[in-house]
Amino acid sequence: MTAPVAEGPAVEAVAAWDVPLLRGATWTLAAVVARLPAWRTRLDSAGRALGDAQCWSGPAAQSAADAVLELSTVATAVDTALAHSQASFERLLVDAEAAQELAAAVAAAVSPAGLAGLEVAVGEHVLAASRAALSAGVALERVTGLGHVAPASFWDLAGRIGLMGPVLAPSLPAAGDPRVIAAWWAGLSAVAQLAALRAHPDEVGALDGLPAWARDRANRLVLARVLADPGTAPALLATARAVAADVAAEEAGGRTVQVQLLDLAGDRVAVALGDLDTAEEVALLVPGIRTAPAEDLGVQLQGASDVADAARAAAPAAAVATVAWLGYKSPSRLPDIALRGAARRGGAALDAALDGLGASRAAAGRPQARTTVLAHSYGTVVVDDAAREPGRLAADAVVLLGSPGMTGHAGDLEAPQVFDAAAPGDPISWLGWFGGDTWAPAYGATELPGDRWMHHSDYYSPEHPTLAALGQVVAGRRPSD
Amino acid sequence: MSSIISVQLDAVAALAAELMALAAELDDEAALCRSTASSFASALPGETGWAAADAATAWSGLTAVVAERGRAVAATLAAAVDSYRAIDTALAGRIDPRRAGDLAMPR
Repeated sequence: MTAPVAEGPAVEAVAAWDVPLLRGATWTLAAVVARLPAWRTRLDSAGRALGDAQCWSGPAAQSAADAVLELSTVATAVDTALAHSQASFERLLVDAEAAQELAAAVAAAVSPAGLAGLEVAVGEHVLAASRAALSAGVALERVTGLGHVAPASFWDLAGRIGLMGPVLAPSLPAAGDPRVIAAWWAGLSAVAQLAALRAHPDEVGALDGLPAWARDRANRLVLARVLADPGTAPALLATARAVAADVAAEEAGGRTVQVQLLDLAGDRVAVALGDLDTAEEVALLVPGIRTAPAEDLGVQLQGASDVADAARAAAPAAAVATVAWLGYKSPSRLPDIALRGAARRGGAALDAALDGLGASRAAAGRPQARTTVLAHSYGTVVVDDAAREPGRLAADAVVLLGSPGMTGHAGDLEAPQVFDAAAPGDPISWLGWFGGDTWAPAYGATELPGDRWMHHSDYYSPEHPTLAALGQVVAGRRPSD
Repeated sequence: MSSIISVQLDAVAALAAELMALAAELDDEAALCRSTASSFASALPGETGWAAADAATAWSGLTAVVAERGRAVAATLAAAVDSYRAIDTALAGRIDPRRAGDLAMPR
């Protein structure tokens, strides 16, 4: 079927096109495409639950999990085809609007001068619109075949996209913009995602922009491999054992645990309590100096657990996830602890981690979480440097706890809310080593309560008033100045 | 065959319900695409509108096929849960005839 200019509609006919109706129809299809990622995210979540042996095990369970994987794979192919088709519908709308605007100009012309040129322009846009309408169907051919007619059955459709047979693990993108990585991942079928995860667990576990469930699965594969390898270096083995023990302890307590980062060589680990993919309130706890996963992950997880409890106390219905984010190599001795080098590296990592959380939600069609960064001591300098990275810091609130000084003003942290807690008995908060005092009114942070018995390591302690206030901030129940 | 077969009946029933809900939502999208197809034909009389309507109709067919399979998988899961319960009840009755008719309760 073709629509050459010579046989196209007359200018009068173009003027009579119902462009508002066309616009509404195009937007309707765009809305359908926009809803499909969230639909598939829920489908994949159900598929993973079915594949979980704790839910159902045995041959029938495997068949059921495979059936949902097949369904997801086909849905992914359909999603992709519809998205390409929708781009053609958008072009159709643009050309139809332009054609009608020019047709109106032809009708309104009072002299023949320039009329021929206008009519040619109308014809060009009519032709482009016709081509776009045809390409909206052509974009579907991978799933429909040449006739642009949907297959009669699921199995016809599955056969058309080559569902059967082995799935090769896709090659991974290089670490970079989390939005690009999130979009790449969302475009993979569930089968391809699992293949990537199994083939490249080290890389998948470290990629900012991937959903938390995928990073968790990948990092647990790496953890199991490292623990079983007799050749693992003692230092790495010590960290791996500590992570495994802390994860087991948290899970024994009935908490959901997600291992978000397991860079044993870099001595960096991040572990979440709660489901980072679905939580409404998310908090990252960024520690200060002399914090190493092998020795300190347990303490950091205790803090994360206490903050989560405080947030639930402030908003009992909220789904909360907190992260013990040891995602930078914390300095442990002079002169490093007095310099910004570790903070600069950590700031870049924190900025990417926050961007990744938002990007994975956007790509999966999930609503964004309220995200709070709780930074303690040297960790506040890490946040300071994270805010200097290109792009806005992807946090709704930043809390500075016992800060040894910050550059500039609270507004420089790029978060809508900035809070500060500085206990009178905390000498670090009076140092001003890395910049101005964050508790000073000139800095511009909203003060959180403390008491005179608090010391530098007491901000997450349930025995002092700061923790309850932190829970309110994480839950979005505490106003800022 | 695996020597261990375990099932959390309530959990699988909940997943079946979620799959059924997903199928229903996709059916709604299919219906929306179908009605939208006629809008293209009305908005642009002629071959351009016809081609656009043709493509939108294919959208409807594709989403309907995926929805139909989702509904079938969901129904199979729900039937599996019913079967597990029925088999457990029957086994209980065979082992102890006094318990014939007791329903298997989810743990």
